[in-house]
Amino acid sequence: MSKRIMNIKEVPHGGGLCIRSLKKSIPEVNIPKTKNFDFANAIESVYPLLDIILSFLDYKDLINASQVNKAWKEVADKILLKRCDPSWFTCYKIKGSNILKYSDNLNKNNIGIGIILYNSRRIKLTDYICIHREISIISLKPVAEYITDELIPPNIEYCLISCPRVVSQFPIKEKALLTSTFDGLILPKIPNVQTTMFHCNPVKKLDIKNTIDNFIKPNHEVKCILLFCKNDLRKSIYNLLDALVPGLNPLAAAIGGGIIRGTKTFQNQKKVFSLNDVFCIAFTKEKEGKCDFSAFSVVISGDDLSKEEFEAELIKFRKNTELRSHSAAFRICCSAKVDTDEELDLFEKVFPNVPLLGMDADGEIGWNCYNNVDPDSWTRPNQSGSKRMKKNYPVVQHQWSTVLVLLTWGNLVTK
Amino acid sequence: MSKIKLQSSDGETFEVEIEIAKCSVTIKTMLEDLGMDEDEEEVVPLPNVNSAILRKVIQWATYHKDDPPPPEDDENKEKRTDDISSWDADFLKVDQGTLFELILAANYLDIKGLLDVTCKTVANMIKGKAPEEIRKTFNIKNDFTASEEEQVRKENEWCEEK
Repeated sequence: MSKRIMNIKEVPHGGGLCIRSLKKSIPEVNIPKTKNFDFANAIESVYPLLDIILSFLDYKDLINASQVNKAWKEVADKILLKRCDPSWFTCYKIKGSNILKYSDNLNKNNIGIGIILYNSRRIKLTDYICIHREISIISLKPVAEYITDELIPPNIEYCLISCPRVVSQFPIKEKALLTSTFDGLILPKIPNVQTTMFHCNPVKKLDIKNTIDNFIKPNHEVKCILLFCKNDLRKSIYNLLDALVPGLNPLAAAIGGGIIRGTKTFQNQKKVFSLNDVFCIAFTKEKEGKCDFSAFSVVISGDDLSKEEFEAELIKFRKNTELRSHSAAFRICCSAKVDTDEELDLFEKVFPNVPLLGMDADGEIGWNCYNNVDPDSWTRPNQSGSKRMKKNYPVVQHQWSTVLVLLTWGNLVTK
Repeated sequence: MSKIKLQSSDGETFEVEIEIAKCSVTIKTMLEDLGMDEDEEEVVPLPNVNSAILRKVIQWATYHKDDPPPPEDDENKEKRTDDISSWDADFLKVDQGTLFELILAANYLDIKGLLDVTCKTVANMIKGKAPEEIRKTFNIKNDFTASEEEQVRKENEWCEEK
């Protein structure tokens, strides 16, 4: 045993994070061919053997299987489509060791997008991560390479959002150790819903138009938008919202987001963005088109709410939403609020088993979008008191608040 | 311990403890529905299983007779394939034809544990392989047209890079 520990010390670490690999080794099998016997054809001809066999594969292997032939593609695609729960992972520190916990279905599901929140005081994107496999096998990888190797397959779009504090509510996380180094939520491809990530400078109207023409199909409407910016964009953000949400009607689309440290997207736009840049994640669907997807958002204001008052707000939100068979949520909480962790417990109580990806932000973006919403809740007096804002816009940027966004898809669940 | 006789498709008869035979849901239901319990002279015919395979199935069931019942399947739960016991791995050192016959027998006799471990073994033959390697392992003909293949390849571009 002591010999093995010596081994680790001999391998130079990167000075970054040490994380245990979540890859499992593939058992070696050697099943020789049988003369004059067509194994594949035999399997394909007895339903549902191919379905059973392929159902043991994870995402990457299913993608490979789907390229074998037409029959395999049909089965592999069918299996992936059924795996539409969100998956998640969380990395946090206990007594100096980095613990990585993840949902059972990580790397199994069909995947639409991945959203990763990280605390840039604890990890830099330029860091190397030491991935420990068996006790003596270690590999060093840059953060992005680590993510696409272990957490999100390389053909999937994902983003990294740097925020002051990462605090999510996932089913297995130990209490009292709520802040994470990084947390990720991976959303599946939702039938009839298009998920798009893009950057946009809302100060420039032309940039807004070009971006929307580029990323949102003309026959689509936005059902939910998550916005992250590095600057206070109180006024210009309405330019963007006006273009995304017709008539700036809060009931048309759920909104959530915040002022954060920075973002980085992978797989599409590779350029440097201005300080005014807003990073958007949009969920759109065909206009008039039917789809089993809904999005809701709520702003719970005030830093002086008692536990009971906060719970009452959550229950009100829950009553005015319809949960479907699969759900996921986002939480953006004012970084200046204190003792907010019990909000997470309350969320778990009111929305059991809904994974909640959460962050603190220096300014929360959102508005109320749920059934039976009180219209007065959109037009609280603008604290900046700006007279230039002639129209009575719904207030979208808040202080001392918690914004929750709930995405839910699949069949409706009866309460 | 009461016993039961099972007859293979080629006419060979095997005497097996009832408790072991009952790990097959098919045999269990047959015994319960037909009231064949307790009647030791009765022979259960298994017209879909030959003697070589039935011998292997009984060997497997005898070793696993004290196993807890396998868990129910769940679409969203991870299905592991790296948990095949070394006994099972040895037991399944067979050729593709025999493995397929074992799968068929496990399916027909409704023995979930055996069906799981045999299908897992086939899944392990697929894991970590590129599409072309899978085709080679299983002698599968690529029936995509050139344009379909281009389409599929485009959807999954990274697979080619690795």
